[in-house]
Amino acid sequence: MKKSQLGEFEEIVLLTIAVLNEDAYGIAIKKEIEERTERKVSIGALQTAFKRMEDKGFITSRLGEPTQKRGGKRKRYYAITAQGVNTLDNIRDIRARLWQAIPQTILDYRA
Amino acid sequence: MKVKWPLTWIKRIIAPELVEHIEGDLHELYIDYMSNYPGWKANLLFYLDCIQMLRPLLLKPLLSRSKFKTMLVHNFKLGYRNLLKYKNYTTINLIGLVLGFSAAMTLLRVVQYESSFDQFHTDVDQIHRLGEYHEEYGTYYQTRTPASEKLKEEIPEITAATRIFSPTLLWLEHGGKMLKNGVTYVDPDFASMFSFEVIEGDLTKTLQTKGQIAITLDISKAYFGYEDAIGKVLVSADGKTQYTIGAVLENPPVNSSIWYELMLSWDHIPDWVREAGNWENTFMNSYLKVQKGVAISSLTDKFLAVSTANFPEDNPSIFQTISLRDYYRETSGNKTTVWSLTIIAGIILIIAFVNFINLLTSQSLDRIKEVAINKVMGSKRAEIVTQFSMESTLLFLISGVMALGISLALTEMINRYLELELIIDSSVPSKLLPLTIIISVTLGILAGLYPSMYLSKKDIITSLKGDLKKGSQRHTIQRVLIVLQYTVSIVLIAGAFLIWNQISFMKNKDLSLDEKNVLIVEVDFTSFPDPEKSERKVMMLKQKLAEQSFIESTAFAWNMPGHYDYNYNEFDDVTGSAKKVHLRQTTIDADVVPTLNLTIVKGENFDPTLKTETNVVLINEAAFEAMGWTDLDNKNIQAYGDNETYRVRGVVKNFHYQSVANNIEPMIYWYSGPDPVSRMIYVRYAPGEVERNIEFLKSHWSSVGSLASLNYHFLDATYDKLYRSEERTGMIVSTFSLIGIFLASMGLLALASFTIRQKTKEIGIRKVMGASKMQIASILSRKFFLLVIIAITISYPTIWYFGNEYLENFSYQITITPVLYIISTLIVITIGVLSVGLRAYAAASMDPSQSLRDE
Repeated sequence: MKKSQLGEFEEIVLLTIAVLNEDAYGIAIKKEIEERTERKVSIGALQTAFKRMEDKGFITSRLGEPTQKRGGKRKRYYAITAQGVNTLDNIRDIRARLWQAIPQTILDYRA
Repeated sequence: MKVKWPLTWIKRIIAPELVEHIEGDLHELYIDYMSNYPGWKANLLFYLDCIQMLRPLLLKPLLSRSKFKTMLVHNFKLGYRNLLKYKNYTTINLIGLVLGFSAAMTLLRVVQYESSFDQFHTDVDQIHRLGEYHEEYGTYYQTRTPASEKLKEEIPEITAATRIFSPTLLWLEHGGKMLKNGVTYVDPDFASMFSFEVIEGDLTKTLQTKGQIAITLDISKAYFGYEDAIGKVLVSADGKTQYTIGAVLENPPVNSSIWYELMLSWDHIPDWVREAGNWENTFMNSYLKVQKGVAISSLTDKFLAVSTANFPEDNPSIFQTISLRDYYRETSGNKTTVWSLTIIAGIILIIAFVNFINLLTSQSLDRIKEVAINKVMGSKRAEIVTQFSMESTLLFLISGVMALGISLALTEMINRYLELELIIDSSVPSKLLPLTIIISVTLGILAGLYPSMYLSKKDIITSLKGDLKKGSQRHTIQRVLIVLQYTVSIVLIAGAFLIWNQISFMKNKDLSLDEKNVLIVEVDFTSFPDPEKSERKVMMLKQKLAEQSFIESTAFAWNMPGHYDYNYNEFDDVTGSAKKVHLRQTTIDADVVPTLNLTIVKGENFDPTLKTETNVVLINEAAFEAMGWTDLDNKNIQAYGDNETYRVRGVVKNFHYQSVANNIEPMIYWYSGPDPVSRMIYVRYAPGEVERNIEFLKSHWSSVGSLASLNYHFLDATYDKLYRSEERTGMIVSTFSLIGIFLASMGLLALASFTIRQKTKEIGIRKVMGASKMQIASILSRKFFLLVIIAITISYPTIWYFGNEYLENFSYQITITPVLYIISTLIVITIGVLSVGLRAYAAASMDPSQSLRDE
């Protein structure tokens, strides 16, 4: 299934949206990812990822309420769809199977 | 919030459905930054965030994708059909564009070639050619032989240095195959300094080992075909020296100013170079490589220290360097040519482009109804503009690609005309094609804009009626452009005439020597297996020649006129005032004066019967004047670095021993003695006896026993060849003046047709009222002749200025006469009459009942 392809960054964003559940909007997602992965996330890259995943049907969005801090602009909250969850599941399965297939000797390399 | 403006931009360009929350996010982030960082840093981070938003996916699409695609296909189809529909216009447009494009492209390729010289070396910016600056003689890029080594020793920033010297040709033999090739002597650093490709073997090791030689691929093929050359041995002609091949090099690229065939290390340098190669004599080509990041200008003091410590006091100068990147450009003498070619290419491109717009505008009259109907049907102005741009883009693309093809196809011819070696390998088209396409598309879109804006602006009702009058009286831009085109054309035509006149003047000028019926045989003394016997044999050949009834006289000399070496020395007047004079020198025997029909104005020629008097010289009138003498009584001179005294035996009338473009410089002729043998045999044959002469030479050449075949030149032909570069310029200017005038006439014709068609009714009425065809034609063309006359007025001072500037290059020059102006004016007027007058006459011949109809 070509459509369910997820890039590594998109996967992380999708997972974060799932983690944040009700509170998943741009800045919150950015901060969450930065905290968990300890790497800088560009807001532009994030917006592209949202757009792309929304087009693919992994997430949906709704507009929230305006706040003073946002110059009176509304937040766009994202939520993971069933297809999104399935895809994440699918990816995890593939990875798990791959992990199981790694010989014990290789795993012993771990420091 | 202070920084609003990026947000207004974001609002404008981000897709509408994303704008709100993106703006909000940016805002929120900014507030966070503000609380964490000082103001400027927060602003900076905010700007960066805004820039981050410029991603294709987030931007407002210019046109929705599918719509854009359909429109493109649709426009393309329409454009294609329109081009076919208006075949005449399309053909004319294509001819103009293809001509202009191919000319410009060809010129730019030449420019590109010229500026590519030596740029392929990886360290080109670190490599410098060593030269010297002398107060009196200026800068020259040769230096004293030990200089480069010494500089490398004394200045730590200089990491490598090499001399490159190619004094002679070398005969080498392998397996019965004896070939003559140029030999280049270099220092071992050569291998690490330059980026010449080594195909096989180890160049560094070869240059460090005595008895090893490096050869180019061509030479390897000539000796060994496709066999491995490494380790094979080449033997010198006398069999005494052996060279083992240590490396095979790729042939030096054609755009390299450094050239080699056989390469030997400095250990092999011939004795005469070793002897002359001291701190006195300046003739060595040397290159230095400085440390990366060190500017050579920062080493000036260190250079100065070396020159002061080593240069002889009576022969001073200071070191001067030039980057290898600039060396070819500055010294090839093509600098101005390259510049003028670039300018001509630019002008031609502009002319072709302007022309195209002019043509398209006049053509657009035919389509005024089409546009009006489109508008009635609801086309937006932008769509009409796009349609026209698409058409012109198509035309530009076609002509761009055609021009590329033509330019590549003509490479061979260009190479021959301009004596270049432009390369066409398979990579050239693929390199040029994308550029051509980009330029064509850009220009095409631009060119389509003007006429379509003009058309789509027009009122629908008048357009539908086919009324062309309104708003079409102003063609100021077109007029200015046409005047410009014509001015350029007239200047180019006059320029072409001027150049050819100057060339023919130089070729026909009395040289004060009789260059007709003289043949010069070149004897290459390095081509004799046995040098001792060779001199006697060459002597015998000359004697045999002299005995023939069809040969009037023969002589020996070191050089031939027109090709004297750049060999100068300082001379003192020993007897009179100790005045030092700089003279050019060559060596002749007693027969040269009668053989070339030179005139002795004072004193006498050399006398071979006076066997003991060998310390004598001849000088020319210029040298006589430079010495400040009034008579030849007991005049003796001494050369710098030579203790012998020489008596000046005679003064030769000034004759042009080089191109007439140059002054006749002071010259001294050394005497080669009563029984000379020298490199050139001058043979003056009886008029009309060329064949017999050559026949005889050919049949007797073998008796000389040289490895080289007979090599001879006709003196008059060698003189003619001196004007090659001027002829080249003449050729270029003529070609481009033709192209220029052709394009300009097309533009004029287009404008004329345009106005004439707007005046169809006026013509009809005038005819009905009884005007003759000639009257109408003259009324119609009057305005255009005015344009031509303005162009002529502008061009005259231009011609005068640039003409004189060009003639400055020549010591003996023609003057700019009124004839030049008259001829170029006549040509332009004739062409103007042909293009406009005929069109106007045709319009005047129209039947009034046709032109007055209005439906």
